[in-house]
Amino acid sequence: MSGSTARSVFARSLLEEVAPVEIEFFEAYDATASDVFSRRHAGTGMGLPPEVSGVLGMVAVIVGRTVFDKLGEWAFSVGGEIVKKFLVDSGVERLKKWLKAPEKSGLAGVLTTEGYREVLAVVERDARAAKLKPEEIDKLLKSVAARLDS
Amino acid sequence: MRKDAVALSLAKMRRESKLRTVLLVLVLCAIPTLLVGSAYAFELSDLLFPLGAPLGHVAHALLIYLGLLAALIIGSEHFAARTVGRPGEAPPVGATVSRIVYELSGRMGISVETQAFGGGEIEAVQAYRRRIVRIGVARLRESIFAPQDFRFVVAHELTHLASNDARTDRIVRSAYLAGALFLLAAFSRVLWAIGQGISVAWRFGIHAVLSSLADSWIALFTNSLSLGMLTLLFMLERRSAMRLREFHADAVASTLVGSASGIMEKLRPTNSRRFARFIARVLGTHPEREHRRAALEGLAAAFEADRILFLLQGYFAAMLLEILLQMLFVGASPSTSSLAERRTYLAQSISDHPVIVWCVIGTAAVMVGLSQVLVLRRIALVAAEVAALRLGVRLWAGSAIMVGAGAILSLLTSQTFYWEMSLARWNLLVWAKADPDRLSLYSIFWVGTVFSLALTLAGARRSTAPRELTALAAAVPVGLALMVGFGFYG
Repeated sequence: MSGSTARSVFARSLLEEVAPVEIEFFEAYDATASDVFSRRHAGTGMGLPPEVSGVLGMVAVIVGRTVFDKLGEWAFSVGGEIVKKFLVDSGVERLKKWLKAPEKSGLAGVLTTEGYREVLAVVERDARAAKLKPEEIDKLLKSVAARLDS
Repeated sequence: MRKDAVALSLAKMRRESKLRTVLLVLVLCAIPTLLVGSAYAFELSDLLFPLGAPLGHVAHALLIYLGLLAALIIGSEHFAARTVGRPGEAPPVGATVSRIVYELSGRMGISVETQAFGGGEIEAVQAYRRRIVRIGVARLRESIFAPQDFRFVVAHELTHLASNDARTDRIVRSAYLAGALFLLAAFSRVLWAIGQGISVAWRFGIHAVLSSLADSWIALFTNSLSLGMLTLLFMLERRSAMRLREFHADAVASTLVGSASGIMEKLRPTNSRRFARFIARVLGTHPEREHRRAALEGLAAAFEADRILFLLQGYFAAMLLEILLQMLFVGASPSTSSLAERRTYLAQSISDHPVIVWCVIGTAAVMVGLSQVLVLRRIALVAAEVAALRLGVRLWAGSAIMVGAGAILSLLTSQTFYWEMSLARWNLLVWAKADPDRLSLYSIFWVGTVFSLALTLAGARRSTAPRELTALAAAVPVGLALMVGFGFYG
């Protein structure tokens, strides 16, 4: 499975859990998220475009992509500092395997406590920047946390 | 019943929109072309074809205008096609949205594509033969969470597609842009001439320069005023036409899907400040919320917002009359000739170039007649909605005043008028005595328009064959002006 497909699979799984009613719009959300990422600094960068603020399904897809990319950065980072801080010793290979096929393996035991907190901090930061309601932010955090623990 | 009402409404709007577009494009062709033709007469005379006097320069200016217009329209279509991409390239919108669009477009009798895009709006786009409803990803979920509002907005956009609004606007916008470039070129010529005068006077000192400027002030002032006024009126007209199309789209959507109260609540509220409300009313592309609500209750409210049309009609008709007089008496302006001399001059022109002179008069008459038909049809539509006689009289008086105001505005922005007034030492009575034909033609045209408005209103209230009646009524002011013209110059 290619990286972009795997990313979409992960983002879709988040959407299915937090906003199942909007699943029929996934392809539109995913295509827009690709465009957003290529044209703007979304996610941890300069924030989400205003027109998709508050749209839970859209934010879930964008956050999913951001989390996937962040884990990808960690898995392939050169130098070792990040690996020691956020990933357990034996976690790198498992993470790389997960990045290829997120639906076939889990992330339990891959991240350190620091790594786990960092991912959830990214999700919370982006969700707040996207002006989601508090209960929607909680829902998104729980969904991501569940995937990190599975 | 609903489908018939929708089809009838769409057909009426298409007819009116077509007529308005034809008229606008004609006016936008004629006025800038004439201005550039006369400003660059020497350069344009035998530019491509040896057409010769007296209208070779105007014919070439017209060819250039039409070429520019075609290029702008084609460019605009191409840009729209690039924005929407090829069929099938855009991501799907989901089953719910597809079903809603398919159902509503079927009821309007059109076939459309649906696209999702990264914006926050729902918009209608036409690109070549394709009709596309584009839905911002942020709005897709409304099809599930607020279905009635979503259906209304989609029906609103589909109405724009069914009425060809996007294409009409593209043509008009291109005509405006080409016209604006031509007006700029004509004004540049005036500035060039003034600049040349100053550069020659410069050698003789500051007093000579000031004297040159003093001689040029009328030309500079009146050209600035008339071109500025023309630009402003074109802009106001376009804004007004866009708002009218929004009213119509609301009306059809409401007929098709029912109540619009939910979506109306979500619109931006009407501004509380009077000045901001006024600006929104004349410059906005979408009517204010309260206006849109009122228009859903009664058509009269929608057309009430379009009264600028009457002002414009008066202005354009008077301007066409003025241009006609200037063309017919190019060598015998009122400031240098008596009425008897002008009569002789016209007779000579007709004898030398009968086809051209009669064509020019005929073209002006047709264009003025067309603009009258548009206005009278609008009056008839509104009159059919207005039950009380008192309101009908108010409508007639208001429209007549706006037409008159437009004509006066045209006169006040005419260089010829200012020149003649300066020669008459700013005495209106002296001017009227020297130029009775011009004053009489303007006056009789207005009187004829007032009569035709009354005729149309009376006929519409009695439902008496309105189409034939409006055509007859439109001919009245044109016919009266021609008769008075024959009286003076025949």
